[in-house]
Amino acid sequence: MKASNWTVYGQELGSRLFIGTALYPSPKVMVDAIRASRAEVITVSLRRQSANQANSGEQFWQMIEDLNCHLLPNTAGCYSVKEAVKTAHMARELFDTDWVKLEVMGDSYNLQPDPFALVEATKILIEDGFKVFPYTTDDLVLCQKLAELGCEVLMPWGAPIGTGQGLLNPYALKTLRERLPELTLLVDAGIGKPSDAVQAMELGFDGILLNTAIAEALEPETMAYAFADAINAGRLAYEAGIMPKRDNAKPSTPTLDQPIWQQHG
Amino acid sequence: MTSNQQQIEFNGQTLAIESSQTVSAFLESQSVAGRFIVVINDEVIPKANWDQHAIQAGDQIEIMSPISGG
Repeated sequence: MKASNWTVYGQELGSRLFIGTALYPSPKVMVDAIRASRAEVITVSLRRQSANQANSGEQFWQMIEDLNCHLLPNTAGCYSVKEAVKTAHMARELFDTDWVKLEVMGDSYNLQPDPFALVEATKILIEDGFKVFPYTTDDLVLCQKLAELGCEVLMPWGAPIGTGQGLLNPYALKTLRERLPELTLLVDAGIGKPSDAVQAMELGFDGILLNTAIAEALEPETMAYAFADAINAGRLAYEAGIMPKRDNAKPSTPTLDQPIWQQHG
Repeated sequence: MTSNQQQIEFNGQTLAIESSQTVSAFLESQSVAGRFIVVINDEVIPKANWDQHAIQAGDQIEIMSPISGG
């Protein structure tokens, strides 16, 4: 059984997994893994050609074109509002999309987003007609501010990029879900294994964006299948309604009409 | 550099090119192909303007291409 479809900035999607295109051992492994993941949105980036590497992006472009996925360009490597806004404009022209995964880093050690610059860049890009997917911390007030600016999608981190530590602060993510019920929320970054993704989906997140956990698995294609199934399972569980936790045991086998010697008041 | 040439910066390297060359002519002379965009002095030059936009002395021209990203 497949979980319900969902909508991202007016685009209906079946898969709830966004997948990155970086870090795979080879281009073929990347293509096989993305196909196995059944993702419909892939993240991409851009860079300046070096003088001796003319047309270096062409092979990559042909591969992602063949995948026929929606493209979500990022602003990776930007540490200022100016850099991020400039990169977003270049990405819009290069990839012919107004979607942008907005990354404005504040610290190079844990690649933590700069909340002040993120808000400023988001404001500018929304005014410029972009559909912004901000990569953000799990701070509630920051996320509320981004929503007020017009973001329909937010992508809080589970843990720092590439760490595979899973959801470091489930309480904060749960609070975001409860306080921003109308927003589309994806956990972006920090997912290490399928059970991390299940946990996020069971909290009510709408989707997962990940890259390293699949690309750096021993068998990326197999791991992509695992994540696709896990994310679907987590969403189905959320839609089915998870039972509340109880402190006291409650028998699952009916006790009515048990023999008298088995009745323990 | 001859009298009908001008100096520009292309992908970080200094280059002498013909004066008043358009972006289209410049791209052809450099054999730039595939999926890319042209950025001159931090401004994206839309493809529709490549035939008209003349490169000026001192311009910083960058070719941006797709790469993998997370």
